[in-house]
Amino acid sequence: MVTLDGQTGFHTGCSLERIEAIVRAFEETGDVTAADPDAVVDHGPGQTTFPTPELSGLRTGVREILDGCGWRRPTDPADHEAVGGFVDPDPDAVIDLGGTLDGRGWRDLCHDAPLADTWESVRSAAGDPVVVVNAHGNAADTLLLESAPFEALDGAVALADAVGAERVIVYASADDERAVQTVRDAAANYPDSPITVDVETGPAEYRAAEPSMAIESLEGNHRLEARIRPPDLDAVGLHGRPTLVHTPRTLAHLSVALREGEPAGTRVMTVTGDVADPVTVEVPASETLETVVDAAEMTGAFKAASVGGRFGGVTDDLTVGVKPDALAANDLGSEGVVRVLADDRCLVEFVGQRAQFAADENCGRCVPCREGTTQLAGLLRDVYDGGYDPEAIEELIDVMTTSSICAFGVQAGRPTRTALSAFESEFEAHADGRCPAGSCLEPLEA
Amino acid sequence: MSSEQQQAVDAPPLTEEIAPGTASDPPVGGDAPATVTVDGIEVSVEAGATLIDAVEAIEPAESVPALCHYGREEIGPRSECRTCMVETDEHGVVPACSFPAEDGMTVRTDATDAAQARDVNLDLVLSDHNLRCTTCGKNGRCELQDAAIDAEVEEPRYGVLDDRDEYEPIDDSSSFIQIDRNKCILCNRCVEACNDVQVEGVLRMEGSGQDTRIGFQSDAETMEDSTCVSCGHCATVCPTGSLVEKGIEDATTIPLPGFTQTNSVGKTHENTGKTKGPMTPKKRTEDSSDERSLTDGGDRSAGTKTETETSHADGDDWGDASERGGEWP
Repeated sequence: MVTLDGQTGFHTGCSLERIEAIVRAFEETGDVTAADPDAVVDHGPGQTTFPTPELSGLRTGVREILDGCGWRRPTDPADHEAVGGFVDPDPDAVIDLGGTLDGRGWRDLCHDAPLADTWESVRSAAGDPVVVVNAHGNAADTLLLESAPFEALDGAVALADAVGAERVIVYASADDERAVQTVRDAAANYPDSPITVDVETGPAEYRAAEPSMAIESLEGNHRLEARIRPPDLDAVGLHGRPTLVHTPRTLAHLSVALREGEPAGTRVMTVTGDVADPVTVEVPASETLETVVDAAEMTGAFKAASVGGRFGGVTDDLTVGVKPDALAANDLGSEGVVRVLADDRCLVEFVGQRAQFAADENCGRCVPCREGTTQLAGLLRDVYDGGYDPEAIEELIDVMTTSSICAFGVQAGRPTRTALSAFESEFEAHADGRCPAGSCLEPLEA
Repeated sequence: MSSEQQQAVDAPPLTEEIAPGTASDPPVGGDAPATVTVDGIEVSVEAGATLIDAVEAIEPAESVPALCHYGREEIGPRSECRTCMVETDEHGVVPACSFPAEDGMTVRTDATDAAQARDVNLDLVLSDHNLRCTTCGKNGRCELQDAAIDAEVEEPRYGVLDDRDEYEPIDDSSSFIQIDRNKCILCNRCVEACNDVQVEGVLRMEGSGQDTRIGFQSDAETMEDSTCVSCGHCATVCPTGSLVEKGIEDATTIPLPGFTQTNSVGKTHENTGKTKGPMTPKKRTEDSSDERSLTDGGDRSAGTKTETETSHADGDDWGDASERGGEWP
């Protein structure tokens, strides 16, 4: 992206050499179009929002939450202030807005639930509350910390002020080094505030993002396992304090709603899997999965999508809406990650890998998850030996779902459960010794 | 134990150094005395009670094993085995051992989903348990055995742990307490008895997934090399034959010539015969893993394997960026 005086040229898929050439051409001519950009947008000087070009991945949807990404300088508070950020809201106004917003992602304490009641209970609870920004493990959350950290921080500080918390802790995976460094710099540049913002990292393991394990990590436990609930973290959280755990997406929605006066009503979604490049887009909540999937360029013909993160639901129906209730009605997840699978993918193999991942990566605390995921992987392996027993698989997943301690075990059976209903014939074919996608039985026989 | 504290006045209390590897669970009891209805019977319980207190006060419609529940000495609830699931009108299917008893709740033990959850979870516990009861010293006084009999388990859905290659060696290295991890249900009672009641800080929960096990905070590999003071509390609270006092480890086995607990497992950490000084809680030795011995447990030597899995790395390979699944098939 080359920008000068209200004109911006966009270059896609640049190598290092290409970037050098673009910079050289601009320095020689002073013309943003000198190096033959893929798109040029004319806009007024002093543009505060991203000037969207007509390019794949960028033209989809809207930009309310992701507005600053790629345009505003991530760690410069002046850029965030220029769009009306850092409003100093009345605590009641923050709580009221919480009634119109819901928690984004399973790593959020209020996943898909309205926020106001939880905020109110934390505000009135005895003890010093803490606000934890859980940025562990979701691509859109990482993007926000890397590209628009003030959106998350502004929301977190406003929320901390509203509930009487003196401390905000940003928690991220130690592997997301750039996000961690950027949000640290942004926190250091944050305008004067009585609220302290700290940035802490946890291990990169998938389970370390689960809210109670995030708190365990912040408390310095060398081994992470889920806590039993109730009471939940909003009552007894970090070092026993009332604790709010929200994702950067949730807090960015609050930040935008505070300066705009109303919620954005959008969903931030990431498309990954069999695509040329993963993309994160923002779409109105009235859109369908199809709009989201179309934002990315697939590398093969579409076969299925795993909707809702690592343990999402598998479907071939993209007419489902992106709202949480529409997704839930179709047993799909609302984590905001859609993994598309091309037609050479085997669904039995895919859900088998997910089950094995769950068996390898669970914290080891509760029986339905620790032993259940192991048995589930075993039952799926049995399919290859002709021992396809859908009732046994469904019974096991039912019990994992109703009796696991945390969301890890509750969700771990979802890929298999949904694939069994949407792609039943593939399981039957494997039981007959045939892989319709031709991808997983050959190596086994060799 | 107190000498360290006397040396440095600013030192944190000893409990701060104890690292049992478990989560800091919140207090779980109800806020006030409550009357709840269990299977149609009204039960009054005190403040701080959980639903299991109400269930245990009556004769429930169906057996509620609540295997990991101990309910004494402030041990638990661990709420890990999930064989105490009950149906409530107010909150759906919940674990009775750790769910607060709130006034007016209606609980059913015979609701389909809850009964199925208890049933399947009991079988899942059995799937990872060495079920050679006839060579077990706790035969006849085992809470898991009792629960399986009460629940009329005839053939566990997922089988039992009977692959000798998967057995962990019996830790027979201590003169006082034997550990057979193949019978451990990870109820955590021993860890809490050791850390919270005796404040010895010897045992811990370690690893994750299928590698989750009871280990030692000093990183020792065997009981002999650990900082154990042989108080025996862990063996007292153990629901199964996983931790038993030496001398009675064969007390209730059924005599079958040539077939013992030791050779049924096949691998044993034996006592090294080395004399040790008095145990100091939390004492760490740098070379704690050097001296352990590993011997063949009997005439079925095929089962002998060198134990190599001592670290339980948390799978750094599975970073989120890769979005990979597990090895398959």
